[in-house]
Amino acid sequence: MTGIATLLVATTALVAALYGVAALVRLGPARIDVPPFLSGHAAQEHAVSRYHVRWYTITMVFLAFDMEMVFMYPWTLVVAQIGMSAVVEMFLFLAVLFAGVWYAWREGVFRWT
Amino acid sequence: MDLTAWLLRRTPPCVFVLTTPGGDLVRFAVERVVRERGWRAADSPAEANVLAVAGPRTPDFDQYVERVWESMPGPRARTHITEASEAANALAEAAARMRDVVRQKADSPSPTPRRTASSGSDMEHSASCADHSGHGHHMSDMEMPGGIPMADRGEDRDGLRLDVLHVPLGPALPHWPAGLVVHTTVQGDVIRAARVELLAGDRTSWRAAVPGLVHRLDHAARLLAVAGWADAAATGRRLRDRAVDGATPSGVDGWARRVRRSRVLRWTLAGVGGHDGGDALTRLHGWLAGHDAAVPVDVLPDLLVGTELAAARLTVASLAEEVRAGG
Amino acid sequence: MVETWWGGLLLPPVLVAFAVAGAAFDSVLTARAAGAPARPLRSVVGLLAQRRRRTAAADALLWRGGAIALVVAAVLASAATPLGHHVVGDLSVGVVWFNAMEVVAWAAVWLVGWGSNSAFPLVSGYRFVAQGLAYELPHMFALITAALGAGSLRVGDVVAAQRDVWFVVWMPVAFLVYLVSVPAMAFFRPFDQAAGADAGGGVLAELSGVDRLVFIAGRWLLLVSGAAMAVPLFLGGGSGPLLPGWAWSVVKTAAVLALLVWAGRRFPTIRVDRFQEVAWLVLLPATLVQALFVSLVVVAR
Repeated sequence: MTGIATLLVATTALVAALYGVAALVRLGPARIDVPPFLSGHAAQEHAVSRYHVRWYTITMVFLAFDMEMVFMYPWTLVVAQIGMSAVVEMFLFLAVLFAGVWYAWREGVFRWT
Repeated sequence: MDLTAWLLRRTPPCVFVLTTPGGDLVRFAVERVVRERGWRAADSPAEANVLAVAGPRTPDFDQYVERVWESMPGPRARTHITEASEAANALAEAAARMRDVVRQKADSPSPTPRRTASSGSDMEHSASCADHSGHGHHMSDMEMPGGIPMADRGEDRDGLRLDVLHVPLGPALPHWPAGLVVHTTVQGDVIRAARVELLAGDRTSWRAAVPGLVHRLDHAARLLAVAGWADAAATGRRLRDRAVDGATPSGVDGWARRVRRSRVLRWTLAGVGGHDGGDALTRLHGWLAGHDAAVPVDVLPDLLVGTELAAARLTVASLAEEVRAGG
Repeated sequence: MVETWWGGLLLPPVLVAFAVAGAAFDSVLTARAAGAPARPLRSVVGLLAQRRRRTAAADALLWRGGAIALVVAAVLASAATPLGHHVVGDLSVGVVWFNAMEVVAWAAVWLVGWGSNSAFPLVSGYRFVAQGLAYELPHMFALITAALGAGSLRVGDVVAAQRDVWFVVWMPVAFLVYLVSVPAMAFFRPFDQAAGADAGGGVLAELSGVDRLVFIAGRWLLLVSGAAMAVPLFLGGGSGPLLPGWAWSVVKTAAVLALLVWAGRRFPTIRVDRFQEVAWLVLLPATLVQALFVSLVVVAR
């Protein structure tokens, strides 16, 4: 664990050093309030906005699988001891989830354009 | 030792190329210099340190040049090249200015005045939107950070009310037809409305000066660049530059075969920008086979509405719109 | 596995060396395609001298924080990756640790896109999240398959389990999917739509100077961390004849990294919306079948 703590400190220090070196050698102060890049046009509004995430249904399917991962990581440790029943249970579970993916695909979830 | 000066002398030029209407021959020359010297072409003003305006001086173009120039961080230098033969010297001279530490330190950033980001007409437009968007709108009395209003809302295709952004595409956009502006309204990355504007200038007469092969190679290379295949695009542009010299470059066939065979490219382009029985892929294959296929620019809004930004960029790059637009 | 605290001081320079070598190799390939003289790493010089910039009303905290988070997470992702017999942290859940660190990139890239308050980076940040939804599950099943073969989530045990035969031999599908997912998580060619030329450089569009340098470094470090993890998971870690273990780790990591850099240039950008269907309906079932096969072997042993 001390190794990881050292690593975190060392990496942060490296990034800080990079910023420090750049502050010493760069040409001058930052340019602030620069207009955003819009092909040479002026911005008519702020870009940050309620974004239309058209693939949000995929996130739902993803979330189901992601929860499954919480079970599957520990499952890898015991599968050899428990044997066949562990394999059957886990892959039945996965089969149910994949049936969900299949249904989602038929509903056109993975094509949003 | 002045470390800044030392770094600056070794800074590789990164060139943002801005082509005026009808400036394509000059752009070819600029791109050639950039490529052959091992410089880089910038994707955006933020990474650029040289601004190269390529082509004849045309009215009303300076506003775009100025906005790109304003958003370049520095070191920076600009040059306007009107003749292809001047490109090498003009760029070398601009690169020297970009590396001049005294000049660059003097080019101190003047904070952009808060209101210049939005011109008067834009503000009126936003205000009128606010008026008919109904009750309790946040625009009227809220302070506007940076002098820019917040996004307004509009009906989405699914009947939701979502924020609307105005994202104009062109003219200061890499891998984009010279002098074309498409004013788009987007929700998320979906284009809800598009209006085409052609900037003033003689957009077409340069085309007669070079063989058709040059146009086709340039169009194909541009489409490949937008599709994100930088190596194939670079090869296409090398072949184009040899064709400009009047030679029939060897290697066109091998390159065309490689492009045609790419399954990922077919997968990327098939079904994009469908018009008149063709799509981006068939138009690319047409150029590779020697046909000057072109789609009139007036159909562009219909092709773009409902597509997302990536598909819209591919669609525009697959059009060769200069041929029939006629300025 | 030997765990030393000073390994934490040594690992960042090692990763940076790999990233620098990878970037140099990449710029040599670029120069060759352009027919120009190669001047690798010159752009680093340029970025140090360049002024920083801030777009109007940008959320500077999120914007800079995203880039720094990308670097830190990319380095930390390698904490459990052994170099021969040496490792910074010999965690009992090393595989999960790698997975957790590498997912930080989702937030980091999105924040950089959002924080700049500019349309192109905003769109590109969301592109990366959508890409994450596509590659992440096949990627996690590939990781789990290797852990399953060893019956342990400790990376050292995974290496030890390959004493007789490397996992790449009997888990080729998991290895291939892993190789696809590494450039996808580092939004590297051909999965570079989040940094696409069609959107002014994507999430990079408004970055200049040292901010740009930090972000690009984070991207390369993430690619290196992903390539390095392929070695203990599938390629037998530091095992090999003649050379010491750490040297074999270096050689194998360099080979995987070079393969990814070279192969990525041979394809156009893979659009997120097109990749989505393939990821869910081809890669995902393929990795599931691979995991089933491995678990049956494990039970039969």
